[in-house]
Amino acid sequence: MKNNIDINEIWKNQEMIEPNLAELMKSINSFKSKNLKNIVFINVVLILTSIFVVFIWIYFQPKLITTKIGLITTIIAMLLYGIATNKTIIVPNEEFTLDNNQFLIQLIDLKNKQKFLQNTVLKVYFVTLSIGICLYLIEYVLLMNIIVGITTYSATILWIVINWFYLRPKIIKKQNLKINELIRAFEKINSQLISI
Amino acid sequence: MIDFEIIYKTYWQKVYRLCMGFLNDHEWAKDVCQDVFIIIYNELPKFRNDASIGTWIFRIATNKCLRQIENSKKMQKTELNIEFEDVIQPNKDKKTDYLYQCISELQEIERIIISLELENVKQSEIAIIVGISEVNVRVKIHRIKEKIALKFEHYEE
Repeated sequence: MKNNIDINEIWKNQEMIEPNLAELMKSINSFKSKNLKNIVFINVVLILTSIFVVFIWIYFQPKLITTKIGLITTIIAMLLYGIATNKTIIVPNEEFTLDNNQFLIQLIDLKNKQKFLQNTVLKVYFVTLSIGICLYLIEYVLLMNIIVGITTYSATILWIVINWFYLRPKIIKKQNLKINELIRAFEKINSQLISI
Repeated sequence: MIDFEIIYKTYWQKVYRLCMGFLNDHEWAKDVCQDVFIIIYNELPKFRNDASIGTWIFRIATNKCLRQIENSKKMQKTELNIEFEDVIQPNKDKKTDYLYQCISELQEIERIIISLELENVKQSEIAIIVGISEVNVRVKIHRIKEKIALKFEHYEE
């Protein structure tokens, strides 16, 4: 490279035929409808789940208050999980008009928030769901003979324990691994700004 | 409000080259470029004239490029697909390819700074886009150009 003009000229050689503006407008609209579809899908799933639980309530006519509390708790757990899995609802979108330095700080902050929310929501989800199921079962276990009742509760508690000590840490580890990798990558880029 | 169509026509190639400098992959750069203009379209009503429109657009574009780090799988795939990349590259000029390859091998912030410099963005504006001092920008540009010059010496050999 002999001088700076050369590199400038070479740089400008890179050209691509720009897509038609109409094509871009089409993708803007499809982007909007895709987002809308996602929100509609989550809501439909949540509503269907709630309808199912309400159906159980009406069809089986539970007598004990514990069953009713159990059903409500289960709905709350599912609602929580449904909302939390769509991270865009709980974690705000990034602000793209900041300078690179602030943008990276913002990304690191958002990822940390996302990590905290995912872990907390998962914990609350498992606790709420477990309590809901245990309460729901009381009425029906009372109708069973003692051995079947103990077996039912033992199996349920075993399932909860597996969830809590195996499944939950596994999911958290997987989620954190990806987020931690990203945080490290963003921090590494941000450190390039500090050094002269 | 500034007309989006004018922005699109004035800045598409500039943003595309910036994305190419960062990613060195034509299809990927085109996709990111498209995303950048979707953000510009959505954010334009909020734009205030306290910054120049160019600075504002380049901030969005560079941040969108930085966000591509999240697509690390795609990044790995691109690195492996050299033969495929040759097929889709519309650019036949080997020197241009080499320059973009050299830039893509730099650190992320260096890629952004040199791409903006080559787009003739003022150093004071680069400082505002990147969020570092003008002196720092000047020092970095000098070093980056030295690095590229060194690589081009090998190329000419």
